[in-house]
Amino acid sequence: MSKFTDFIDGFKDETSTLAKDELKELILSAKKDKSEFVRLQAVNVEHWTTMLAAGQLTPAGFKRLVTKMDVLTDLETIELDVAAKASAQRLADGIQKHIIDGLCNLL
Amino acid sequence: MSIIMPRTDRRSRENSITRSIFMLVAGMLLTSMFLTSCAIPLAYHDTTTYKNLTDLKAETMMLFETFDTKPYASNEAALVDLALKFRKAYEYEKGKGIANSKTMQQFHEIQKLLNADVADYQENKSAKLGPKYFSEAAVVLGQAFDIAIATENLKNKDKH
Repeated sequence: MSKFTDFIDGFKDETSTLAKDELKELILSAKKDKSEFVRLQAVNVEHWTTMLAAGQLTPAGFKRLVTKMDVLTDLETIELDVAAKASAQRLADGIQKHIIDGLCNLL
Repeated sequence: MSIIMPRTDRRSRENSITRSIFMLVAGMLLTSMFLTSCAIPLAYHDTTTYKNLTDLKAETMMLFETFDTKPYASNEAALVDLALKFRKAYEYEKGKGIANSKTMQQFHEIQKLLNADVADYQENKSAKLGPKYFSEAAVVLGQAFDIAIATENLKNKDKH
């Protein structure tokens, strides 16, 4: 068992507001995700939880760090958008160069 | 009465039709690609942007890692210097215009993270957030810069 799961399992939650198994499964599956970004965020959450358990972060500090994941997600969304546009731009440039300027001139 | 064309004329006419159809399809495809890629134009890869981002990442992380142990007063001058460098880099991106709007958005996002951490540091919130909070916030800032750096690297390098 990792420190993360130990901490989650040891959490006293008399009102059952924390779905411990779902949370552990969420992090576990995110760590295996094909997206490097998703894997990194899962590692972040696991690491911060361990720091919270060790007293290196307060609950307020933990919450603040988790909130920062929103900004990282916004940045990642922009990156994905740029990647898609760059691909479209490469294709358009390639069609212009090889088909319009090249092949079509030979027809 | 049927009109029988000579073989060479027929071939020439077929070639002409093929060429017209091909040009039409290619033109439509190109227009489609152009509209897709240029709805919001995209700037090309810029080595100055890449250098600004990597330099800012190193300087920001090194400075922010000290926040857990050093008082605000001892880092104030370094923070002013960093803010100026960040502003210069931002103005450089802004000067590239609408085609560079995605990179500008990323600068805005990173600045939000940076400003929030500096405000917490200035208000001496270490006790409230934890003894290692700022070291971890520096890591998150580094990850934010990494995404912006990766984004710049995704841009096409060959400008026509």
